Amino acid sequence: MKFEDLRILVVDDNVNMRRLINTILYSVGVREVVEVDNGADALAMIKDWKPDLLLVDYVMDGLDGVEFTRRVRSEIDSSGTRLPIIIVTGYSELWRLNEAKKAGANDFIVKPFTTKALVNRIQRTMSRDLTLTEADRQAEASPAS
Amino acid sequence: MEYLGVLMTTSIAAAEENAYDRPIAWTPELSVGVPEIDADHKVLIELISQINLAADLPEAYTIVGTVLAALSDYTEYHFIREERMQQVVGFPTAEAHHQCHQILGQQVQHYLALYTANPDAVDTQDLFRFLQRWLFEHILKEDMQYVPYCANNPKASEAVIAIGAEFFIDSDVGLF
Repeated sequence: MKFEDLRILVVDDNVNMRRLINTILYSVGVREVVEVDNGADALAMIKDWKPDLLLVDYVMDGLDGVEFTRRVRSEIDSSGTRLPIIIVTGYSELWRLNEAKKAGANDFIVKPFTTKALVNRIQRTMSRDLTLTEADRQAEASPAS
Repeated sequence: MEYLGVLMTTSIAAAEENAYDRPIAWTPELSVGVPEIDADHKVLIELISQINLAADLPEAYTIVGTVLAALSDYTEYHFIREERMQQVVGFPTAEAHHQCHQILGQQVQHYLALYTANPDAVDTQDLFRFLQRWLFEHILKEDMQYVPYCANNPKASEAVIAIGAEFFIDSDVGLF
């Protein structure tokens, strides 16, 4: 995986954080970053344009990051491949991490974060097997606990 | 360049008083003739400008904290690229330049540690002014000294490009 080949969608309702994430991604070589300020528009966008990875804010008006992830898993991942999602959040409680994981997020990064932490999250997420298994489907279909 | 001209010449104190409200941007006068290094400088300027943009916002903690962490990581990366380039082209005062980098690296680490421990301990206006002034002065004074050795020199670009994003990849970051 080369960072310069990645297409990344940043979904965050805070314009300053979107700009900062975009700058950090650019600084490590990513050249195609699209920003969207809400989950509904992002969901509509990825029906036509598939990024390689999504960075999604946990707390947003309307669709929050967890609900957005559930919708992607149920509405977008039809081909059997998971669209990689990293949840970005200012909260670090374990229950939130578990909620994001159960919704189908591939990873989770807590703000403020270092460039190295973000790069490593992306690198490892992209190097995983992203095939959607039956166990994934069952886990994500069950009610959140 | 008018802003930089003011900042760098007669009235630093007066310029600093107003600098917080002014946008900062890369201009061609800052070019060192090596596109990859110019790109690094643009990233640093953009990161510093985001401290200014976020300083008074409710989410300032997460943004300023992330900018400081990014500056810490990115200055380390940029300095290594720049010093490798100087080594390859035989820049004679590379050691003095390295010392400048060391000092700023330590200062950024200091601010990052201070901010991480207690965000209220760091005045973001002072932080912005310090970083802005340091970067522009460093480019215009120290970096310009290597221009005769590096500008339009393919070996300089090759040396910089050889150190890429893999610099940021560690093996100890946990996942789900």
